[in-house]
Amino acid sequence: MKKVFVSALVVMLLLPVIAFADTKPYEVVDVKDGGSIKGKIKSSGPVTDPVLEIKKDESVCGKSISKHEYLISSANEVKNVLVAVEDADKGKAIPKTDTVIDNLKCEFLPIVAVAYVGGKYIIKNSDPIFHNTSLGIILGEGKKRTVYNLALPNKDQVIEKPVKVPGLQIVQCDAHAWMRSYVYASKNPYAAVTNDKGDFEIKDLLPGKYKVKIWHEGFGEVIKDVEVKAGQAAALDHTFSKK
Amino acid sequence: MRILIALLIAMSFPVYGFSAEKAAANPEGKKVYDGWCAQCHGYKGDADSFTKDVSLPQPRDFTFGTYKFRSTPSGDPPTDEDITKIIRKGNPGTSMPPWTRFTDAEVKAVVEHVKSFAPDTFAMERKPINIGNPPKASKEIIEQGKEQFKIAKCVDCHGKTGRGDGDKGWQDDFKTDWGYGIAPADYTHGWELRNGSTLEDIYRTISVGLSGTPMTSYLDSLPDDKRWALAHFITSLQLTRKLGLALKVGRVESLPSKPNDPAWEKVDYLDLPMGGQLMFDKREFTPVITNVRVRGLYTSKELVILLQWTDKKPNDGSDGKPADSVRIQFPVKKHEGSELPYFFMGTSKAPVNMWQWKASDKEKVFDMTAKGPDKVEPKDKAEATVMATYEDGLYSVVFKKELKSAKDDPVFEIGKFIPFSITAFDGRNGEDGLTKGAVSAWYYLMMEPPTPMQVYVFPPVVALGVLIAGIGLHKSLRKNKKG
Repeated sequence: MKKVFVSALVVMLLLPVIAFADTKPYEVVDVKDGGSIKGKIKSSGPVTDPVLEIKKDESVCGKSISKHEYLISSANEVKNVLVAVEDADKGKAIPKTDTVIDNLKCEFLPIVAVAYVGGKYIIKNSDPIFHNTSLGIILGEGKKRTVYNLALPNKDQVIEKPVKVPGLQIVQCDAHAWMRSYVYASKNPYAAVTNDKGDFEIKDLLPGKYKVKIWHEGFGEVIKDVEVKAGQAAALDHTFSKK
Repeated sequence: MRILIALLIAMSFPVYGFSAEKAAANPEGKKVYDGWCAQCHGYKGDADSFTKDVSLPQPRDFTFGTYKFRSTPSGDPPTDEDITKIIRKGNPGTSMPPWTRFTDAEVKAVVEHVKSFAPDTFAMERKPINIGNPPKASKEIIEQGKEQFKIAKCVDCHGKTGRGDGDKGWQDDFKTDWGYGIAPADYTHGWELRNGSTLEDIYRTISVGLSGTPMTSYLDSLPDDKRWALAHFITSLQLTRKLGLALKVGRVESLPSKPNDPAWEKVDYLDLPMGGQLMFDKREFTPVITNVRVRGLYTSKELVILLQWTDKKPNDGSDGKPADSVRIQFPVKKHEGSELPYFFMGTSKAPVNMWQWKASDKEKVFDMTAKGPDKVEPKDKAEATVMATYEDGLYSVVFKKELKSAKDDPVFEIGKFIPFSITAFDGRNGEDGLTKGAVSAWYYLMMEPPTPMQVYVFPPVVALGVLIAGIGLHKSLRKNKKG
């Protein structure tokens, strides 16, 4: 009889855990002798960055603007690629870094940024004209789920908002249709954006197997399996090719 | 044994509470929802339903977790009261009716069920913004609001006079979260404002925005007093609709020279609520023209009829979309008794006369006789002329007709009720200038007969007579008293 009690208790306690598996909060643990993921993202060849024509507020925005979508070095290294270990649900503490989204010369800067759930967005307007800043989780097929839509009518206006909703978001200004950038709101500290040389490094991961998301605005998304070993750097290189 | 049963019961709670089949946790809400809401909003809350192609705006897809109508700051989900309000009061101008048949408990259960379609969204904290006490309306505050309207760039999208015709703010490809097109609100049409048209409603919309649309939140951008000033100005733009059955057409010596002549503003008017034409192919299930304002004047020689309606973006037909257009119809035969021709383009027994103006041929009247939508014949010579303007989102079209003697033209007889109806077309909305458009019911216009001379002679004579008789009576009474 006792055994029945015990097993019933165990089942009872486990059930919510099983059901909550996908919404499990991130758990901070001491990471000693963790591993890292390191690599370079490249393009199979050069891709011309589009130039956007501007027909509004030209005095501030100029007549045309480079999209800054394909920032590719002479060695075909790709900047602004998001690399995120989405399934890391345990590890080091989430950094207390805030994420700046600046409306500057009718462009959102940076083009690709990482924000951390629990941190803050610092949304700025550096232009002397009206911008609004609308963040939305990308749902595909041109659909999204609005996270914030804030008006910044004045120069140097700053609005701070908490980062609450995780996921990859598009940032848009409804007043200037060409303006866009991307913010990845991460539940864990394990996300990075590639630099000019296409390099990234994600440190202090607990050893284990992870699925890593590699995403670029123009090239699209791939998910890679990576095994991280204690004290070692796992290599993760990828070469995108334009379809 | 009792303990074991107790444990099993305890066990069953987490199973129901946390299982993926959320509906099981709220059978009452699911029952009401599936019975009354799912036909439009979808059984899974995803708006996958039969009505999605024939309603504008489309039914809300709850799985997105985006809510336009909230009392909470941008980024926060709506409160239960916000959702309850829409269920109870409906959403004017949409297919969402007010639901009064349910008990409060049933509504509460439905709200819970609706929330279960976007559990992530509703896991967040929700707190309405503080509305406080609105400042009183005054000339000064409305002036301040008008200034803010420019500074806060409301004007970019909503246009100088608030008709939603901002020339640089909005693009034809403005999309909502759900991926369908959206245009800025027309503040002059209070009845079209889904989030309400009272001062507080406007203030709330300015403050928290409409999530999922380009309407942005000013809560963190403008101080409270400026948002109230804006709300006062925007509220002051609303038209007062004058509804009725008949339009009085007064007689004047000379007619206003242009459709946008300020002289028209003093002329009596009638507002015609418009609805989609649903009887004949091609039908219009999703009209955008909701009101046409009609005015009329006549002289000894001519009758003029002014039609005005809002169009947020004019189309003259050159951009691949049909041209904007308006049509007025009258019965061909003199109207007697209570029977009217069929409301849309008549029948062979009771044909109608139609004058149509198109933005593609600005100075031409397409004059036709119609015996039904498929029996329309153009006339050799138009019996009317036309003038049109488009200004700040408003079309003004004046039809002018020569008045012959009543004998020759029994339809336009002075002093009689003359039936007319309007069809208006918005090219941007794919309305074709034929059958796909917004229609009105039959209304009447009456050219008021000039006041006959007797009116000026008889009453003074009678008044004088009464006065004299009164004095006489008074005197005779005084005499009697003394005596």
